[in-house]
Amino acid sequence: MLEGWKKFNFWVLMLLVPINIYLIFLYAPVEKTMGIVQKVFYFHVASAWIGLLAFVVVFIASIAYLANRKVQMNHLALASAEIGTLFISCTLLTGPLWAYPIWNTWWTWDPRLTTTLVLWFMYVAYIALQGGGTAENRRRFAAVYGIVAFINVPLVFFSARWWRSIHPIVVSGEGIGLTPKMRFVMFFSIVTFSFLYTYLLGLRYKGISLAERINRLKAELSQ
Amino acid sequence: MVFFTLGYAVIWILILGYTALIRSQQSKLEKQIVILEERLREQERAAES
Amino acid sequence: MSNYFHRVLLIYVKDIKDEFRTFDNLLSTIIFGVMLVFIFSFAFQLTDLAVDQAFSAVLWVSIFFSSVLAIQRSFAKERENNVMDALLLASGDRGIIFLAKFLCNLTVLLLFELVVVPLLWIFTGISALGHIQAGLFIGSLFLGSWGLAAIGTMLNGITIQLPSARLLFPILLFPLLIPLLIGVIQCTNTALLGVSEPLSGWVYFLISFNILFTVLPLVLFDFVLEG
Repeated sequence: MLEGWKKFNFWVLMLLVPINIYLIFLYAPVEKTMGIVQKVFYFHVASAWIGLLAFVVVFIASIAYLANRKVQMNHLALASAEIGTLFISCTLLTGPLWAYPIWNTWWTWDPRLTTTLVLWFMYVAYIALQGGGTAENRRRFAAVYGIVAFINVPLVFFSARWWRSIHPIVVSGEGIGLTPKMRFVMFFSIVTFSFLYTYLLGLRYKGISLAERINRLKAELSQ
Repeated sequence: MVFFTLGYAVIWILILGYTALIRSQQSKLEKQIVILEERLREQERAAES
Repeated sequence: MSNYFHRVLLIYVKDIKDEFRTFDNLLSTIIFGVMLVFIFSFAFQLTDLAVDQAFSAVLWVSIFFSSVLAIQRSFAKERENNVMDALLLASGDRGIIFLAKFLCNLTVLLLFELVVVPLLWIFTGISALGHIQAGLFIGSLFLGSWGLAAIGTMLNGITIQLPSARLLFPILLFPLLIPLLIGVIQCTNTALLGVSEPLSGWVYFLISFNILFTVLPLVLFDFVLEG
């Protein structure tokens, strides 16, 4: 079943990615004030969205692991965390590349930027906690951390926003007037990236399960 | 234009690089599993005889 | 219910006694904090920056880094002497252990601040505060230490059972502390500079943040100290 889904997912991607690139480069209009750099925006927002979605998956899988102790849930959470880190890294790298030519600054402490950075740190901490070994207690700890870290995300966002509402923002991401065409392309990018996410998730999940099986086989051999 | 190209290059390099990495890792793991299972079977046969 | 808190109190008293019997933990933390505060205020003097503007930042960075040292010891004693199982048996509930350890860490942090904050005050030469401002300042110190002790105790319960504890603990701790850092710096800054900002909101935010991260570990600690 999983293999079939992966094949299907792969071919959907093969179809969606070229269409998405076509839409971004040829269909979507060039933004008047920002120029062509603004087109980075479609992938930037899509990867940010996936980064957040991946953390929701980590959260749910962590709860499921603590509830029923199925190793698969832990594998799913770890795979999702790794891919989430990948996409959040994309967001963090493209953000400044887009902001610098427009606002003449690489970084501002806007709530969304701050939250994204903290999210990245929490992902890295999660992987560091889990990555050192496959002992049972590491799985449990990672699940506990996954839950606490996810609860922390809205707290970071709202406290950062509240702080910024007191000290006015110099540079703001608001006010990008999106035309209907742009909106459609952005929506399409998000859909494409969601398929990319599930494809990578399946791939990585299988990789982690294989590594686990090798560990078991080695343990059996050494007996 | 420079920043635009850079932005897209970064995303594609990261995503494709990561995919290639985990794919190669996986094929290595699959080979290893075949070898290990073979050795396990040999061990069992040796134990039986 | 009173039995529950009685047992929390028993473990708390035991830990505090341990703390003061050896004394080296508290002492080394305080010395580290004094060093940090000295380096920070001296560095600011060297750059001719206005220290009173940066006071709350310096204060909280010093406290955060010193707390890593202070909190890391709290479960280490049990691990070294294999007391954990006995403690689990005696308390019967992991929440009790969490609460006791949390209170112990909070006490250590407050004692630490009792030494370090006046020193930083002297170094930076900030003028005296009015009653309300001083109350707000002390209140924010307390709220900050509360959150720090709660999150730190929970994470230390995790990292202490792993081989790379020293490195992992700060990596896990600091991202979770960001909302606390924002709130607490807002409060201290308002207390010091007397800026007319809507402050009560931040105090409520800190209180609810702290309650959340004190109750959440009570639920999750069963999974941390298992088996």
